[in-house]
Formats: sequence, structure tokens, C-alpha cells
Amino acid sequence: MSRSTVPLILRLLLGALFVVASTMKMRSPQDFALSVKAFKIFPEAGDHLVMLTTFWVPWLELTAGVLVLLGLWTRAAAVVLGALLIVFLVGIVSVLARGLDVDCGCFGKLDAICTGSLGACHIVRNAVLLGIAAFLVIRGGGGWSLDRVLDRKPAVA
Amino acid sequence: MKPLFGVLVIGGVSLVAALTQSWIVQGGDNPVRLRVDPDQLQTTVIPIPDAPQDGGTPENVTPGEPSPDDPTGDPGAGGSMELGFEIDTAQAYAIWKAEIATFLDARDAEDYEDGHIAEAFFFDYHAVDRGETPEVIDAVLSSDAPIVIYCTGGDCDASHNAAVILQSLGFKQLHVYVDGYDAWVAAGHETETGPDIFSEETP
Repeated sequence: MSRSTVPLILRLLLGALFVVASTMKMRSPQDFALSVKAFKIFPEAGDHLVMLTTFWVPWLELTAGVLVLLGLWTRAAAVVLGALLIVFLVGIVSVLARGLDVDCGCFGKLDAICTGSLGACHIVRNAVLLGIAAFLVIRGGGGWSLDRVLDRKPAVA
Repeated sequence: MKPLFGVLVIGGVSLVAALTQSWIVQGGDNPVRLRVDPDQLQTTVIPIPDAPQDGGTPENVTPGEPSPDDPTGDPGAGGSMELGFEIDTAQAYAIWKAEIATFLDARDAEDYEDGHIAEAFFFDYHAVDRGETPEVIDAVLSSDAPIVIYCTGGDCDASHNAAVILQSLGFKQLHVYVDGYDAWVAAGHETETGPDIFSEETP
């Protein structure tokens, strides 16, 4: 039982979280753009990079999040989410190292799990999510996934 | 090999969607702004609050020198100070004393409640982006009067972000008090505590 339900639960958790995060960001691109700028990762003249991040990151989260939820291309989608989480982690650590006081912007104005300015809580949260993504990359989507259904097809045909 | 192909497809599809969205949003009525447009800002001229301190006049100060064309000029008094977009504690206190500006607190509601510059209003600029209009905008802001926005100070970004949002709403006489609330408190200037007066009325 646990063999197929564990990946299913992890997929639903990770996928749903990223779908929520992406829709919150897409709702208010202005807010997310200002959040990205507040990280001060890009140079002053790098506004086009801020813009690219503002629009690309939510779409990456949404596409990969939905795929993980469905269990379709689970490994590839989990790689994308894992890569995003690593980028976010680096950003958060760099913000803390520079002593900046920045709101997360991870879920738009919604605080999920962690509240307030960026801190250790956000690092732990992202590390746990990264663990889940890594698990899915290694183990795949499990029994209750479209990947499994599609894999069976050739055997039936 | 297959997951790598999937990663590329996910990245590519997302990029196309993102570029389309950015093209639509940026071309729309309310493009995403990252900084204030300096050409759309107005400065504020305020009288110098006190007699010049010994050791010379501060920067940005035009002493009230009599000019040949204006014999009514009164030397040593009646000077004025022109405030640009970013102002420091001395300038912020001068404009606060002159009682001509509306002060907006761009920090969190909790911080505002714990203590804010006396007579400053709480301003949640995120609400504007969510499509709401915070009551403070219609109730107290005027396009003819200067608006001073502050956050904690140091590296806080909220005051600049709030200025970007206010500029998108058509306000021009904007000033960011960059030293922020911490410097105001350190200078011993007037503060008060209490919740946002408009918060009970917004659901």
C-alpha cells in the first residue's frame, strides 16, 4: 500500500503547493516583480532580468506543478521544481547573508507555513520541499500516476 | 535522456507562455513598474524651519538673499529648501513640522501598530496590486500635496515600492524618507502607537 501511496501524497503536496504559489504570483505581477527586485540579486541595470523572472518563474511553477499533480513526466517536472527550489534557497541565503529585510513573495501576499520576512523558517521549508522533489526524481510518480498508465499501454497493445 | 527532454519542453513551454503574458500585461493599461519615473515627479519647496545653525547652511538650501530684482528679500530669514524624491531625517522632520505633507507608513500593519511617525497613515501597497483601493488613498491623499513614504530604513524596499505604486495611480509629489522609522526614533522625533484608523472599515 505505502509503496504507491507515499509518492502520491508527496506529489499532491508538492504539486498543489506550487500551483497555488504560481497563481498567487500571476494574480499580481507587479507585487512579484517588486519582491524579485527587493532580493537585489540582479544589478540595478538588470530590470529586464527582473521582468523575465517575474513572468517565467510562475509559469514554470504552474506547468511543472500540474505535471507533478497528474504524475505525468513526473521526473522531469520534479527536476524543474527542484531546480527552482535550489535557486530560491540560494536567493534566500544570499538575502539573509546581506542582512536585507525582505518579504518572501513566494506565495504572493499569502503566507504559507512561514510568516513575515525571510528567515530560517523559509530555508527549512524549501529544504523539505527540495527533499520531496528529490524523492520524486529518484523514485518517479509511483502507482497512481499517468506515467504508470502510459507505461502499461505498450504491454497491453 | 527522457527526463532531460521533458525539462526542456517544460522550460520552453513556460517561457513562451511567460513572454506572451508579459507582452499582454506590459502592453496593457497597467504595466509592471520597477521604479519611479523621475520625469513624472514634482519636488516640494518648504521654508527652512529654524535659523541656520552655526557651521554653515545645509545642502539643498537656498538662503533668502536679496536680489537686485527683488528688494523685498530679507537676508538671513525666509529661506527655502527644495526636497527631491529621496529625503533624509532632517528634511523629513522639516516637512513634518511644516504640516504640509501626508506621511504614509509602508511597513506591516503590526509594525505600524507598535509605533509610527505621529500622524502617519498605514499604507498597504500590496492591496493596490490586488485590485483594491485602500481607503487612505481617497480619504487623505491629495495630488496637490506632498506625500512622504517611509519604511524601517536601511535596506527596506517597501517605501520605494509604495512610491512606484502611488506614481502609477497618478500621484507626483512623492518623497521617500530613506532613513526610515528607525532613524526617526533615534533622532527623538514624535511618534505614536495604535492601529490603522481605516482597518476596521475594510473587511
